[in-house]
Amino acid sequence: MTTAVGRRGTLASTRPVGSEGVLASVAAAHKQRKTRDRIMVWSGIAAVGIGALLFWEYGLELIVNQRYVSQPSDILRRLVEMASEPGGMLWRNIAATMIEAGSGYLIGVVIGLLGALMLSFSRRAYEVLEPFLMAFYSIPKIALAPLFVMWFGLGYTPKVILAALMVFFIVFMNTVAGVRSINPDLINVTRVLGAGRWAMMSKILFPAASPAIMASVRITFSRAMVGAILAEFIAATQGLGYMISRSSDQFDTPAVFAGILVIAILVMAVNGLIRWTEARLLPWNVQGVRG
Amino acid sequence: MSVAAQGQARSQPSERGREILAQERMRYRRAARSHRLFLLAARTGVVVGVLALWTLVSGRLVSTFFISTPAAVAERLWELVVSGDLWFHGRFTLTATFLGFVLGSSLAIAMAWPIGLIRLASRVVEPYFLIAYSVPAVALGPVFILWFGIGLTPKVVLAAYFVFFIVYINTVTGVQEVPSGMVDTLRTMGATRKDMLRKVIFPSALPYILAALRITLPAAMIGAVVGEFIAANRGLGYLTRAAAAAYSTSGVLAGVFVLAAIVLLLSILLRPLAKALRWQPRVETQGQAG
Repeated sequence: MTTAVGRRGTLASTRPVGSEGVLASVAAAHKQRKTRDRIMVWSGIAAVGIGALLFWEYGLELIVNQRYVSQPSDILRRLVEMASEPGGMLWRNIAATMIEAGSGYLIGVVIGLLGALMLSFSRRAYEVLEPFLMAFYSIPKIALAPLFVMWFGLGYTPKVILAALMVFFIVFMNTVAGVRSINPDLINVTRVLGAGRWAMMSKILFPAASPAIMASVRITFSRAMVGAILAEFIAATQGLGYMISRSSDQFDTPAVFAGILVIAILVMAVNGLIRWTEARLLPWNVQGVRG
Repeated sequence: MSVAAQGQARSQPSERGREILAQERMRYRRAARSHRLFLLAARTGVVVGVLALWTLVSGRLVSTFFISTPAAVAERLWELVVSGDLWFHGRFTLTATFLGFVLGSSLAIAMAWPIGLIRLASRVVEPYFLIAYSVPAVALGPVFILWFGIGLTPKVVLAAYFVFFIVYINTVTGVQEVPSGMVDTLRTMGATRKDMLRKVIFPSALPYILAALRITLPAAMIGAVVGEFIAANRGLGYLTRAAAAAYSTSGVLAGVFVLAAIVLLLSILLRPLAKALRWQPRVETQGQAG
């Protein structure tokens, strides 16, 4: 939309004198329509959100037992209560899960990136390993959670490994796909000009694959979170997953929802941070992102 | 090859030329065959090497308790098959997977069609779907257990939840990503809304929907298994977790192997779905399965 307007604006400046009045009125009408459109959307969003919350608060208990669904006000109260507890359990749980998911995410991204770039040097090796990589890629990584808990106990290790594994394959596969989609002419020219391996990697492979890499880096933090939380469900002594599953065992529905709310906020905050960093580092790369 | 083919098209090659062509073709075929053989040998080598290394290391460098042995895992798998446990537990997981898949995808498509067609509606609900999508579905597992007990229902619901958002987002994208030139052309030609839906919007949304369905069947299975991890008394997820609780490494590995085999099989079975619409450009699918 904005580009269309911009184009029309530049056209207007080259038009002969006399048409300005018409163009200005068209532009004004367009602007007005856009403003009205935006107001409609935002008020719609607000209405849906407020309506849903009000229904949850006052209407839902008429249909289902309140013990199961809780109430927004109860959830908020419980959240505040947990946040201001003397032991600071909520904060400790948040810290534990963030450490697990964060370090797993970083490890997964770095290893996935390095592994894929290394494999991109040898076409042979890639061809040999491809079926195994595909098989590993498609198996549900979370099925390995009990195994990691058994191997590494109750501490941070199994959660970090599971989170890293959840991230690794996405980054790896995307990087490989990005490297393989490079125009071969580019590689040939670089080779003819006498580039070494390092130059080839830093000047061609990495920059050309960077959109695919960034796409994967952008979407994988929530997967790291899933890995950490699931491992906490299975066996843990702290963390948000542990908190949720224990609250669920105790039928403390508000606490369960409070935990989910905290997770959602954390995931969205980190996603926002990643997007902000990307906009700083690779401003040419940013587009509308979903999913 | 291509140069030779061009030459052939223009005029008949001479006797000598035909000879060269035949030689070239032979050489190409031989190279392709030796490459295939190399790949086969190397891949077999990788499998054999890993299994041999695993057997060797187990009990010598690492305790058998932790990594078991290939033979023990195979034996455990065989036991599961013979005793009927595999079928018993697998049945529950597969039932939950398919019910969840059907429920989640049909709900998603039913919701995405009307919402995707009305721009204002889709823009209004979009932020809520993005928020709900960014909540790790896994975190809702305990909630569903709390609501629906430990039977089949929570697994079906969790599987459906895993499926729903991916199918929804892709269907809305497909419905909205209709080439606008086509829409304009059809409108100029006097198409009714019904024609538009049937002849333009549906065909152009179809590849998105099919692609989403293809990647979400494994996702449904993961949802079902996560539900079984959290609380269950049957199913493959339960089997795996129970083995871990009993410190039976071979049991856990056998469970993982079965889960991996089923997911692989499902994705291979669904591969023709992508090829069914060969005339359509490949679409970028959003969302990922765990």
